[in-house]
Amino acid sequence: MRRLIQAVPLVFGASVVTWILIHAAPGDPIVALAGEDGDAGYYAMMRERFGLDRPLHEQLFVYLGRLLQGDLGFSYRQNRSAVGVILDQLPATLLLMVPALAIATVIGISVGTLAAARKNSALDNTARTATLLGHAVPVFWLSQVLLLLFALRFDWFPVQGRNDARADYEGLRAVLDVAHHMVLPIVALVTVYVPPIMRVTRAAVIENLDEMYIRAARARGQSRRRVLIRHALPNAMLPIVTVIGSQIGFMFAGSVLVETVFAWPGLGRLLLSAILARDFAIITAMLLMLSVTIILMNLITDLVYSLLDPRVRHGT
Amino acid sequence: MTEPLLSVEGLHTHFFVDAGVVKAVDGVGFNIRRGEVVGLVGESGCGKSVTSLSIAGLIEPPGRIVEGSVRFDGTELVGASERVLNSVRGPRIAMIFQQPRASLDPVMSVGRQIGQALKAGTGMDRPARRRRAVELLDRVGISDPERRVREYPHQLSGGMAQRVMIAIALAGEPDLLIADEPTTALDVTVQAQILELLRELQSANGMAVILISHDLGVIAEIADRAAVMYAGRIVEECAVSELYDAPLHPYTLGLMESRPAASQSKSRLRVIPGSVPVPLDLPVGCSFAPRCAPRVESGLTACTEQAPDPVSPRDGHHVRCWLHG
Repeated sequence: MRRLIQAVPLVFGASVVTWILIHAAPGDPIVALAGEDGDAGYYAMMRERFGLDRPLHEQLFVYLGRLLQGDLGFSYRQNRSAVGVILDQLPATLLLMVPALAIATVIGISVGTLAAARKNSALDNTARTATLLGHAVPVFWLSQVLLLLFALRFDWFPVQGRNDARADYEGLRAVLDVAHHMVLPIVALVTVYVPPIMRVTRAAVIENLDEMYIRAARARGQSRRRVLIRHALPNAMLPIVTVIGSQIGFMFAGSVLVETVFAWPGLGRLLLSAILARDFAIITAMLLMLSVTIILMNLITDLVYSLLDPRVRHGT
Repeated sequence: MTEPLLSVEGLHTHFFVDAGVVKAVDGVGFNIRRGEVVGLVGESGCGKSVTSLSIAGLIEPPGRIVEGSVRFDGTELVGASERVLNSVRGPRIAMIFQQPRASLDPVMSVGRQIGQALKAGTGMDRPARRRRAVELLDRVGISDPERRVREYPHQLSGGMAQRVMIAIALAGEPDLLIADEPTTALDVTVQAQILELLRELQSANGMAVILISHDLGVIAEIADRAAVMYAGRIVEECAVSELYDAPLHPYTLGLMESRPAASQSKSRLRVIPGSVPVPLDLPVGCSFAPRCAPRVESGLTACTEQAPDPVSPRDGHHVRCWLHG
């Protein structure tokens, strides 16, 4: 609870910084909205209407005043509240991120554990090389390669979007259609999510396998496999949970690129188009929500700690 | 005479590290009868712990048993399958270790860790295991066992953690308990309590015990026989009383003399000159020769040329030393 209160000034500070950064960047939302060769009088009217004619510090105070009332701003472009726009797009992003994260967690932890159990084996070396590759490959490039190969060349998957615009599916057909569209973006996301999880799992399990309680558990007749799954892995969970928690923020960043390549109607694409349109309200609101998410993830991580480790639970 | 419970013969356990081969155990052999308590004494690094881990088949790479035999109750354990070893470890050969708190899984409750040993040994169902775990905690002298059984290792003191380890060891009613420096990391008063508990449980259960210690006092407390290890070999083996009254090996003699005694608190502590040889580079001949004063006095040349074989100058008293050979 105390952590939650501590987070308030942090979020506030973060929102001031993002607001200033965005307004310091070049580009004029009205020009972006009305086109470059518009009428000067029209520009002036629009500026006045959105309060863009006032000095910057006044604009900042107006923004912060509204923020305190829970108003995250108004999108000039979409002519509606920023929160509304974001909440409209959120489900689409979660539809990609949640399954991708779940799959990546399962793959990362199981492969990492196996690699740790057979350190320096062929499996371990393959997994480590794949991890390095996964780290090194830019996700937008990977997305495009997946697209070229599996959507265009082999025609196994649809190229872009969330559903087939030409068909009008209902019920199960519609669900399957969306699932079909989800495959490639999720593969791309899983490829970026797995490496950190796998690497941390491997390192933590290897470290724990050297602990004395492992030898003691073996001495009371526990098999290698049981010792790995019942003792080494549970003790390795703390750093694994940490890396997953701390990755969520970066995962949004990854989803911006993946959503853009696959034309997925989610937050990532919204952020990109908002930046291009200088849609200040959307940008600040999204970055604010992102910082809140990261802080929330830290809190959740701490909660999971205390569930997993009695030492954390008892505060020693 | 019946077959011994445990028979170790010509055991060689080597560690293959980058710098070369560390011959941690280099030809150890001894027998243990049912219900017998044998002390294994020696300095740090002499191979005591590696010997015990070799018996239990718990040597991990880069270590390997390269030669020798460990027969336990008629079963050869060297080269035995994991399945066989897993069924022996725990229910038949139990172990306790020097650092009891680090030997307990920090994220698993005490009750469940005892439960694992019970499951392996007896196949009891869960409620029965719970009841038995409480009984065992009570048996090893832990107060309020109903509460302790739900606690986690970090909530226990070192002495209590060792009692829990003993409870785990007792769970399968083993024939042999290997206690590797069970009291070294504990306070002196707690040490005495744990030794007392071990002695009491041993006589009640009739299990054999290998007690590993660098502390001759601890060995004297509860062992029937003692084996002195030096540089991966047993250099002397006999009844404990005889080891104290009439030690034969110069190293044992040195150990005896270097014990601080209350009666001579003013005098300087006697020490054995030199240090334990680097296991990568053992001297030719007797490993103890470079530190051996009696050798210099006697002028024996064999000591630096060839390793001595065990001889038995007295009945049941074996020693590896040219001075007696």
